[in-house]
Amino acid sequence: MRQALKLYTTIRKNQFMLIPGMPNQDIVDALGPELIVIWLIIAIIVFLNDQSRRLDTWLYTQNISRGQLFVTRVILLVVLPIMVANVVDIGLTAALQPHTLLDALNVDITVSANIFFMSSLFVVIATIIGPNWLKAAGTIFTLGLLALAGPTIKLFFKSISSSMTSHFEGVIQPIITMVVALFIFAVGHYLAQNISDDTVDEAVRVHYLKWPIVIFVFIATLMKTMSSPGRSSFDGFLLGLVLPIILAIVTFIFVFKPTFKVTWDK
Amino acid sequence: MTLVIENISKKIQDKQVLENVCFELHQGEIVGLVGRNGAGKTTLFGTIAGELLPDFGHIGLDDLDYNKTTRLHDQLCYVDMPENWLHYYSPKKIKTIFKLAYENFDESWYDAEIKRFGLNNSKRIRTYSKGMRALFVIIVSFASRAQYVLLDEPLDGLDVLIRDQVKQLIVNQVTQHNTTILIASHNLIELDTLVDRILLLKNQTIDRTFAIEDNKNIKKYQLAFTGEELPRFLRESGTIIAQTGHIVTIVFNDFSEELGIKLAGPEFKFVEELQISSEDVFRASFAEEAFSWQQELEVDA
Repeated sequence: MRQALKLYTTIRKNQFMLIPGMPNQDIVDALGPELIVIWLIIAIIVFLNDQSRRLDTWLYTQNISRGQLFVTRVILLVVLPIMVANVVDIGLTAALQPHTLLDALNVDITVSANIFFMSSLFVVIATIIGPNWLKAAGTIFTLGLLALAGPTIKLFFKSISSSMTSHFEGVIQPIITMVVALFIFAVGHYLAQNISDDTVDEAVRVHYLKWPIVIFVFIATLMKTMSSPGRSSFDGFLLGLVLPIILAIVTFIFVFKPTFKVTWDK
Repeated sequence: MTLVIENISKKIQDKQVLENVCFELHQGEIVGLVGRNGAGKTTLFGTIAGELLPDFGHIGLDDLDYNKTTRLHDQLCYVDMPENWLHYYSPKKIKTIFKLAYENFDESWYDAEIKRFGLNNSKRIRTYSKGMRALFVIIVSFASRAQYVLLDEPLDGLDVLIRDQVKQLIVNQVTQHNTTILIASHNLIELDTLVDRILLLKNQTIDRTFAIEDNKNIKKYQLAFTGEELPRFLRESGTIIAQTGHIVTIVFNDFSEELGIKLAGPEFKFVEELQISSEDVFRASFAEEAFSWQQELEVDA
C-alpha cells in the first residue's frame, strides 16, 4: 500500500500541487464546500486522464495490486481533498470568525459526507464503465435519479432522526451517508480487482454486471415515471413505460453492441 | 529462475485471441516472438506483464503465481509502446518514477545511455521522433534491471546505425546482467542475429518453438526447371518465395527423401540448396495460407 501511495503521488505530484488559491475573506462562510468542489473537479480530471493516457495500464504491471491502486486513488483524490479543505476552512473560520465556528463545522460535516457519498458513486461508476464520456453519462444519470429521489431520502432521514434527541439530528444523517459511501467504495474495491485493461473501450467492464446495469436503468427509470401523477389509468401506465423502455434499449445497445444484419437474401 | 507461461487463454470482445499458450523463459535467454499481424503478440505481452487478466491459465515465477504476487512485479519490465503517459514526462522525471517502481533501477547507466544517444533529458518524450521514443523505451526497460524484459517491436523506426547500437545494448544486457529478453518482432532477419530461439504464435497458440539449427526438415532451394510450366509437386509441397522465368526459390516445410529424388530428376536443370533463415521458417509455417493466396492471385490475374 505504501508503494502504491508513493508511486502514484510521485507520478501525479504536479497535479496535487494545484490546490486552489485562498479565496477572499468575504466568502469565508462557504470556503469549505467551495474548496472541496474545486479540488474534486481537479481530481476527476486527473482520474479520467489516468485512463486516457494509459497510466492505469502501466500501473497494472507494477508491484502494486489493482485493489491498492483503487484505495490509493480514493485516499489521494477523494479523502485528502475533503480533509484538507475542511482543515483549511475550520482554521480560517477559527481565526477570522470564531463565533461561527460551530455552524461552519456542522456545514462542513454535512457537505463532506454528501460529497464523499457522491464521490463513491462516481468512483464505482467510473470503475465499471469504460469510455470516459459514458462514465460522465452514467454519473449524471445516477446523480439525477438521486436528486429526483431527494424528497424520499429526506423523509427517510426524518423518520430515523425523529426518535432521536436534537443533538443527534445533525449527526445521524452524515454518519449514515458515510457508512453507505464506505459500502459503495468497498464494492468498487472488489470490482477494481477484476478489471482487465482490454475492457477499456467496453461500456461495462465487468462481464457479469452487463445485464444488471440494463435492468437497473429500466427499473430505476420505471420507478420514477410510475411515481408521476396520472399513471393509474391504462393509457397513463403505457405512457410511463415509454421512457424506461427507450433508455433500457439505448443502454442495451451500448453494453452489448448488437450487430444487425439487414439482408434481402433468403 | 524461470518464467512459466502455462495454458494462458484470453478472449477479447468475445474473440479468442490466445488459447492454451504454454512456454518457458529461462535466465539469460533472448527469445523471439513472431506471428502474423493480429496474431495476439501484444495481447500475450500484456497478459504476461499483468495489464490484462487471463481468462484461464497462470504465469509462474519462482513457483509463485506472478499475477497474484505483486512483489514479484519489479522482476519484469514491459513498457507498452503506443501513446502512453510516459510521453508527457521528461527522461529526468521518468527516472524518478522508475527508481521508485524498480528496486534495482540503474540510475548511472540510465543517465549515461541517455547522454550517449543524445536524448534531451529535460524535454518531454512526446517531442521525440518515433525512433528516439523506441530507443528511450529500450533504455528505460534495461535500466530497470528487471530480470525479464519484454520488448514489442524494439527495432521499429530505428535507423541502421542506431539499430546496430541497440542490438549491442540487448546483447550486453544479457551477457552482463543475465537478463531474459522476449522480443516481439516482424523483422525476422534482425531476430535471426539476436535470438536463441523463436516462438511462433499461430492459431491463438504457440504453434512451434524453433532455433534455425533445429529445423533440419525445413529446406530452401533455388532451382531452374526445364519444362514450360512449374512442376506441380513443387506448389503442393513448398512455398514459392520468388520466381523469375524458370528460376524458382522455394522453401519446403517438410523436406523428405522422396522430394530430394524428384529434385534430382530431369525436370530440373539446376538445383542449389540455400541457407535457411527465420523468415523461411515463418513462411514454411504459413505454407497453407501462402498457397491459397497464391492461387487467389493467379485466379485474379
